[in-house]
Amino acid sequence: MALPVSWNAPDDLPANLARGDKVVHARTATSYALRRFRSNKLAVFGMILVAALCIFGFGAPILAPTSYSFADLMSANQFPNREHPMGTDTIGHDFLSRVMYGTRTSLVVGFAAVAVAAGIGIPLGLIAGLRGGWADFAIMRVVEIMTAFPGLLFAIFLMTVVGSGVGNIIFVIGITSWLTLCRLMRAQLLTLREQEYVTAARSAGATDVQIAVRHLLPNAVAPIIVALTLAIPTAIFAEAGLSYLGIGINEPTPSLGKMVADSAPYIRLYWYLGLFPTLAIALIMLGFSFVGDGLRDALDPRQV
Amino acid sequence: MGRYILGRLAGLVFVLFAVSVIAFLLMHAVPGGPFAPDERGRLPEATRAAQMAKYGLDQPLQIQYIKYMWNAVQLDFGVPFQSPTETVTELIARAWPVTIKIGIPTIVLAYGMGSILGYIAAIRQNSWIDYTVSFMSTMGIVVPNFVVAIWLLLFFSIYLGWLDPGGWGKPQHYIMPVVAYSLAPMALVARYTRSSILEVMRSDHVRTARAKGLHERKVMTWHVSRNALIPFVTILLPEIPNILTGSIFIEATFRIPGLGRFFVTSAQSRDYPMILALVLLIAVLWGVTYIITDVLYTVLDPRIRLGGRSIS
Repeated sequence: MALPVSWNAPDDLPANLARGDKVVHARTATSYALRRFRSNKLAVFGMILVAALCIFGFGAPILAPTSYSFADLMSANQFPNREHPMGTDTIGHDFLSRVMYGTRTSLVVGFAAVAVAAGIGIPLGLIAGLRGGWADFAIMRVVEIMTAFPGLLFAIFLMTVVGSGVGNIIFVIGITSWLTLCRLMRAQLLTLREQEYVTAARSAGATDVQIAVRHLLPNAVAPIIVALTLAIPTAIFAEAGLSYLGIGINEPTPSLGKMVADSAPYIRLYWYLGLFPTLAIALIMLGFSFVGDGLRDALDPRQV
Repeated sequence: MGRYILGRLAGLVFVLFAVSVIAFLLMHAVPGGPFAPDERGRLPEATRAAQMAKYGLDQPLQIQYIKYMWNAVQLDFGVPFQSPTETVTELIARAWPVTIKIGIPTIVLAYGMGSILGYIAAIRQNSWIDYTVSFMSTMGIVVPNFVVAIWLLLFFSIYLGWLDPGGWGKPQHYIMPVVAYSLAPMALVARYTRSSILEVMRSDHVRTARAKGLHERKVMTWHVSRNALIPFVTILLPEIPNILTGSIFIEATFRIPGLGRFFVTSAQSRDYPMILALVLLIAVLWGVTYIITDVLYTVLDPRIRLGGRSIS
C-alpha cells in the first residue's frame, strides 16, 4: 500500500504551516476507487473507447462528411475508397456518415432508456426498501409478474403498438428494463438497514429520514452506479435488435441495427455494408461493458 | 420432496394465471385488432362483423378469456389469425421442432465447450490460456448474437464461400446458427465454471483432501468438480428455456423457419390466440426450469433445505 499523496502547501496556508511544507491529504473512498479504476487496463481502455465513440457519434453533425439523409444515386454502391472511407450504400448515402449518425442514435437511446429505467426503478426500489409493508409487497408483486412475462415479446408488442421512432423505443426499453434496478435498490437498502452502524445511529437518536439520507443512500450509490453503467449496453443491444427486426427505428433516422438488417439482401456483393455497422455495435457494447466491469471492481472490492 | 414440488406447481399455476390475464388485457387494451382497418385497406363492415363473430371476438372480454383458457388447458389454443388454415397447436408443432433442432446442439456445444474451457482456465489460472478464455468470454457475452452471425456469414459464406448463407434442410445449415447462438451461453458457462472451480479449489475440504495425500485427479473429480457444479446448476440451467425457444435474431439472419419470427408477426397482426400461446409456452418453460433447478440444487448441496431455508 502506497503512502498517501503529499504535495506542496497551497497559498492560503493555515497559520501553523509555512510555504513549502509537505501537506498530507487523507485519502477518501472515492480516491481509492479512482485509483483502482485507473490501474485496471481494460477499464481504462473501455473508457477511451467510450470517449472515442462519443466523439464519433455526437460529433457527427460537425465531423461527418455528409448529412445522414444526403444521398447521391450516381455514386451508389461504391466500395470503400478515398472519398468514401466506408463506401456508399445502395441509394448513395456516404456510409461513414450513416455509421456515425447511427452510433449517435445508439448512444442517445442507450443513455435515455437507462435514464427512463432509473426514473422508474430507483424510486420504486427506494419506496419498497425504505417503507416496507404494503408498499413493498405491492411493488415486489408487480416486479415478480413482470419478470415472469417474456421481456422481448413484451417489447415487440409495445413497439408494434406505439410505433417505431427514437422517442418510442426509449420509452419501451425503459419500461421493460427497470426491474433489475428496482430489485437492486431494494436489496441494498434491506442489507444496509441491518448493519451495525445503522443501529448505532438509531440508538443515538437519529430519525428515519436522517438514517436514510446520511447512512443508507450514500452506501447504496456504488452498486447502483455499476448497474446503471451495465444497463447502457443492454439498452443499446435492445435498440439494435428491435431495429434489426424492423420494428425499432425507421428511416430517415439512421440506426446501426436497421443498417445491418438493410444490408442483408446485398451482403453477398457489398460485404462492407454488413461489416461496418456490426463493428460499431460490437465496439459500443465492449466499451461500456469494460467500463461497467471496471467500475464494479473499483467501487465494490468485496464483490469479485 | 413430493409435497414441495406440488406446492411449487401450484405456484406455477398462479403465475400462469397472472401472466395470461395480463397478456390478455394488454393485447385487447391496445388500439387496432386483427380485422381493424390498416394500411392494406379496410374490410367491409359486414365481413368484419362476421369475422369477429366467427372467432368469438364480439363477446365480452371475460367470456373470451374463460373460453380461451378452458380450451388452452386441453391444449387447444384456437386458430391463428395469420394462418387460419391450421390451428395454433399445429403451427407451433410445425415451427418449434425446427427451433429445438437448433437449440439442442447449441446447448451441447455451449455447455460442453464452455465447461471444458472454464475448467482449463481455472487449473491454469493466470496463464495465457486463462487470459484468452477470459477475453473470449467477455466478447461472447457482450457482442450480440446477430452481430456474430453476420460476421460468420461474411467470413464463411462470402469470403471463403464454404457454407450456404442461410436456409434450412441440409446438415451444413446447422453450423453457423449453432455457433453464433452458442457463443454467448458458452462464454457464460466458461466464466462461471472458472470462478466456481477457483473458489472450491481454495476451500478447506480440498486442502484436507490434498493433505491426506489423495491423488490430484481424485481431488479434482470428487472434491472440486462436484462442488463446482452448484453455481452451474442455479445460474446456468435457467438459460436453457431461452435457448429452446430460439433466437429471433439468429432465425431471421439465417432464414430458419422456426418459432422466432412468429413473435414479431403475431404482435404485428394482433394474432391474439398465437400471442397468448407463445406467452404461456415461455412462462411454462421458465416455471418448470426454475422448479427443476431448485430441486437439483438440494440434491447437489445437502445443506440447502427446500422451502427457502438454508443452514450454512
